[in-house]
Amino acid sequence: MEDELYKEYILQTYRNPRNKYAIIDPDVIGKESNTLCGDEITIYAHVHNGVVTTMSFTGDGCAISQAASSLLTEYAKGKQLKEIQNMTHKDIEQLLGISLSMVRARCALLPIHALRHAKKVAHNNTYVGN
Amino acid sequence: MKSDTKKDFPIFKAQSRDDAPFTFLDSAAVSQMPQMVIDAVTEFYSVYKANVHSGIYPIGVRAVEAYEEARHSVATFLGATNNEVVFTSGTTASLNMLARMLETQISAGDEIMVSAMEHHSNFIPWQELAKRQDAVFTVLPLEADGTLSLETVRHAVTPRTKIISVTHVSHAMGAINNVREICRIAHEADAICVVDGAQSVPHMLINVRDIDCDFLAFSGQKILGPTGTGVLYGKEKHLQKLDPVTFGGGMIRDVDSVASTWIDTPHKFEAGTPHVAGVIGLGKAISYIEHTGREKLMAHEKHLANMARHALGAMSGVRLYGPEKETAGIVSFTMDGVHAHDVAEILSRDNIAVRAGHHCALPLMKHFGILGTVRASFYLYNTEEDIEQLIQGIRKTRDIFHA
Repeated sequence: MEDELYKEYILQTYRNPRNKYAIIDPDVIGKESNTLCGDEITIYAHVHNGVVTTMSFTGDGCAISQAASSLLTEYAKGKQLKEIQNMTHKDIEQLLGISLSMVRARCALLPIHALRHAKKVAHNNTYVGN
Repeated sequence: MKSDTKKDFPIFKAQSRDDAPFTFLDSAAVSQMPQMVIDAVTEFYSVYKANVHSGIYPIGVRAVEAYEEARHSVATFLGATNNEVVFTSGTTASLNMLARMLETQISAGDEIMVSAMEHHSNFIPWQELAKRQDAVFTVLPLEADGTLSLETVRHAVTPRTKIISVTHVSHAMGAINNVREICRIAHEADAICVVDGAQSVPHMLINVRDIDCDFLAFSGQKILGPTGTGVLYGKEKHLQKLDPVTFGGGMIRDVDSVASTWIDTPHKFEAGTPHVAGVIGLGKAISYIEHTGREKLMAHEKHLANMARHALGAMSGVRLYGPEKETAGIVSFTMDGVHAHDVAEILSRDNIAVRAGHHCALPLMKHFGILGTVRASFYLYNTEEDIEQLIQGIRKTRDIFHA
């Protein structure tokens, strides 16, 4: 019987997360840690006119925070950054397809909280190369 | 240990499910309370609730007598005198308060030392004190297995060392420090030795005269007592001289517009209305432990810890942390491919309560190069069946995660 929380696709995503890499020249970058366990997630995005074009993340964590980060970075593409930043407990439950206790919701909301605290990165357009 | 100890603790019945008993393995965070402690607290609230500072009327007298009787129980339990026992809200409060009390004794360039296995509450107050006084904050490094070597302490101490504060037992992995020897090293350098007894006082036979520590802190909620209670023990010669850092009612000798003076220790350190009910409960909790016998309790926990370490160590993909021998009733481990949180979550389905995470010991986690562990901690009410439940739960976790 499949577990109610650790559904097969959650575990699959945990083992093989999408978009788990650092964007070297992000437009926004945010970091957040879960005070309960110390897990830390950094989230990166390219944003054009308020719309997310690419989103990625780095950091280790539990199955829930990793799966949430992976699914979120997929979902965010083509959406308004504001909309992603404003996602709620309910929204993330819907995205993950599981229901979450208050404690575990903190794990799932970690990438969203990281995005809320994200800073815009000022780019100067002159690349001098490596 | 008598086999029906759990019967004294109503929570086990309350949380037991038809399909799963309540397997509580998180006593290092909070211990459960026997009925007699709950009754003592309830009796105070329902029969003689009164302030300990105002009692001329009968219940006021009874409240202060019960409160001071609890102080006497704690003092006897530690091998101290009543004047050396200050009630606080817990170890964290005790250590923060102490770091403030010792502030005037620290000058620029002095050294304050802690070990890398400390709980944040025995780390940050000293780090902050060092910052305020421009002192040097030294974190004593650990051996590969997480233990603190006495050689490391000896080498680190200098004539400028003023405070060494170490835990007696590591809350995150159960290592036991030779605090007696650490105190001796500290005293040779004329330094003050502070012991965090949060994980040792509830579980070991402790005598502060034998350890010869200058101060020792512990929490009531970890020793079968109510939450919001704790103790700061201090040698009387220190407590006589030190000034309080919290001011208010119940600790004043005289107040005028120029300056005020305080009464003697320990009451000068207990400004405001204390947690009377909690302290009375703590006194009863200590009676319960005395009645059980600490040698028996230690042997029981050691047996459970050995059994758990042995069973977990035999499972592939399970890694144990901390020393193999001479540990307290705390077992810390990780599972390959499964985050500690996920282990705790799956165990909780079967009514097994463990702690997962960094355990407020980030310097120790960094030492081991990990994010966190799963921690099972034992107390007098735990049984061999509890360990079997844990092992079964770990097997189940492995199945779900295909780890």
